[in-house]
Amino acid sequence: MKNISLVAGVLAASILLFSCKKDEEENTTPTPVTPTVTYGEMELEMEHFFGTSNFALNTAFTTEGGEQVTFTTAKYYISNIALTKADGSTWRQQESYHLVDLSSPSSAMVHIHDVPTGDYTGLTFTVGVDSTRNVSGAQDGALSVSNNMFWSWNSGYIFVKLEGSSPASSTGSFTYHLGGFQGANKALNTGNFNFGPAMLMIRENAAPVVHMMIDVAQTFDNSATPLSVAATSNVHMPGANAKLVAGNFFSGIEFDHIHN
Amino acid sequence: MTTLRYFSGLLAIIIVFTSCVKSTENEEIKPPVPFQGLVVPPHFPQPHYNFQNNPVTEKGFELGRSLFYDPILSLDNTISCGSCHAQVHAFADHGTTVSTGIGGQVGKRNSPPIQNMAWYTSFMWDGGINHIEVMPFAPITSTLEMGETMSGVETKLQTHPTYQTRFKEAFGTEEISSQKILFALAQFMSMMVSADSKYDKVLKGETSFTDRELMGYQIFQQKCASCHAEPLFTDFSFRNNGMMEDYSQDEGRSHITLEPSDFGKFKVPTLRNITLTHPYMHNGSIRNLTEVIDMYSSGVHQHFNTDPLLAEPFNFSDEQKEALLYFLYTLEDYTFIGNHEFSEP
Repeated sequence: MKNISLVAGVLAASILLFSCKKDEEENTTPTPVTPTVTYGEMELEMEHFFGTSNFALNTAFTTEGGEQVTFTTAKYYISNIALTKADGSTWRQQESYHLVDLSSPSSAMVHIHDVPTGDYTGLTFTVGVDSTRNVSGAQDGALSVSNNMFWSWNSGYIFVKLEGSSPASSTGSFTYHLGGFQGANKALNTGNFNFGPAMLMIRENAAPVVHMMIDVAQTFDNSATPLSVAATSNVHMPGANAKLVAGNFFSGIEFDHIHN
Repeated sequence: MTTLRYFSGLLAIIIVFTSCVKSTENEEIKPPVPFQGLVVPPHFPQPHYNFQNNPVTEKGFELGRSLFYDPILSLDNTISCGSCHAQVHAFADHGTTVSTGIGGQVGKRNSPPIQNMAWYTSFMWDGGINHIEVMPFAPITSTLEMGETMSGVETKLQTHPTYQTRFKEAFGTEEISSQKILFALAQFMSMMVSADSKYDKVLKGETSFTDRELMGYQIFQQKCASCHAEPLFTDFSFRNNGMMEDYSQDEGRSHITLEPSDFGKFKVPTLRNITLTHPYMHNGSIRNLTEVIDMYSSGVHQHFNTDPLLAEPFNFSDEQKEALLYFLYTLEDYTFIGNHEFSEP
């Protein structure tokens, strides 16, 4: 008896609840259905070469001009990453500043999360740091001055830092500190990399990888504006040389393939 | 008995003394003045620095003050910001031509005063630094000055017995990053306002110039104010004042801009507290203000880049020179250099 009354009670309550809900639904105008946005993640992998060889620090390479170069430092900023869909719409990463430091292999794998799921056809990023952040005081994270990528005496970020030794240099070394965010000496370069027939498929619970190839040799071997270490071994501030060498470095960056 | 009487006498004195002290203390108790942040003097324009990403707080200001006076910011822990920026000299150096860094090294420029920094659009004699927050990064890392790295400073502060707590109080996190270090220093420096000199009091109608000061003020307004613009006594521009015949040792502004038209140009320095910040000019080569006035009167070198406003010598009379000097003394601000809030804690 006890059980029956309990069941009956629950049943009654359910009916009551159900009816209430129904009434509510009937009384309110239906709200427009917004599609649920889901998010996924991806990796942007920067793979470095010197011509046909894998790039490495403290390893001697020879430029097309026959000059030997051994790098001790290779660091650069990529910033303001954006992904484009076939319909032209774009997703931009917020606070998108990444320092790739060749002495720290993990920094060459740029992790990008909270990307709306979908199929993307191209990628955009800038090598360097936009002018706003060059004039906005002390920053944190990748943009912290502790990373030694900010000129103390001439405010602004060093977008690309290449240092090493070379017998071709009169001092035995080379220092390319490349930056400049304003005027004629602006050394920012932005690339639009189209994936061609490939597609970047961002899905929940997936982690596709976009592979970029960076041929550091192009810093010296750019066909239009080759750089000779013997002629120019020291660039340490914004100016025509910084702009040229930064442009050369940028010309070595290409989209290669995607692992979905 | 004598001893007892002596004791009771002493006791009475102590009681009286203690009560006296107590009552004085009671009289002196005032309601605590809440920390106000940057108070813009009524006759000043709005400051350039707006604390947008770095709202000033009492704890942040006090942390910046401690850091400013702490030699831990230098490589060998010997030199603080305050070593070369002394309050008695309106935070310029102690009368030295150029300042001495770690290991006795000397730079090539005269330490400028630190005052009214929140109004500045650029920093250093050549204006190479574009923001107050990144300003201390230069002296901390210069090998001729404090010779440290920012990561070195971070590490030392992280292992210091009190700084983690201080950073937590100021910024809500024990994390000691270069950003937070620079934020704290910017809070301290931007609060350092000099706006209570006799000149300011005259402007506010609290006092008046003497006849000689007034004559000096009038000459100043005619001949000097177009660059040393009131009320900050600089227009923040860069100009070549013809003090040198040859600028090859230090080209100034053009080193930053690479513009030939900026050759030999330096930032127009403020004249506030100018009597306290000797010696003068970017290289500290002029010892006193009499010589500075003489230079502008008849000693300006004319070359391709000398400022057009200085094309003709002023040829001041002795009376005019003296009056100018008297006016410059009215820019001394003892409220500022005596303000304990800016002193070494």
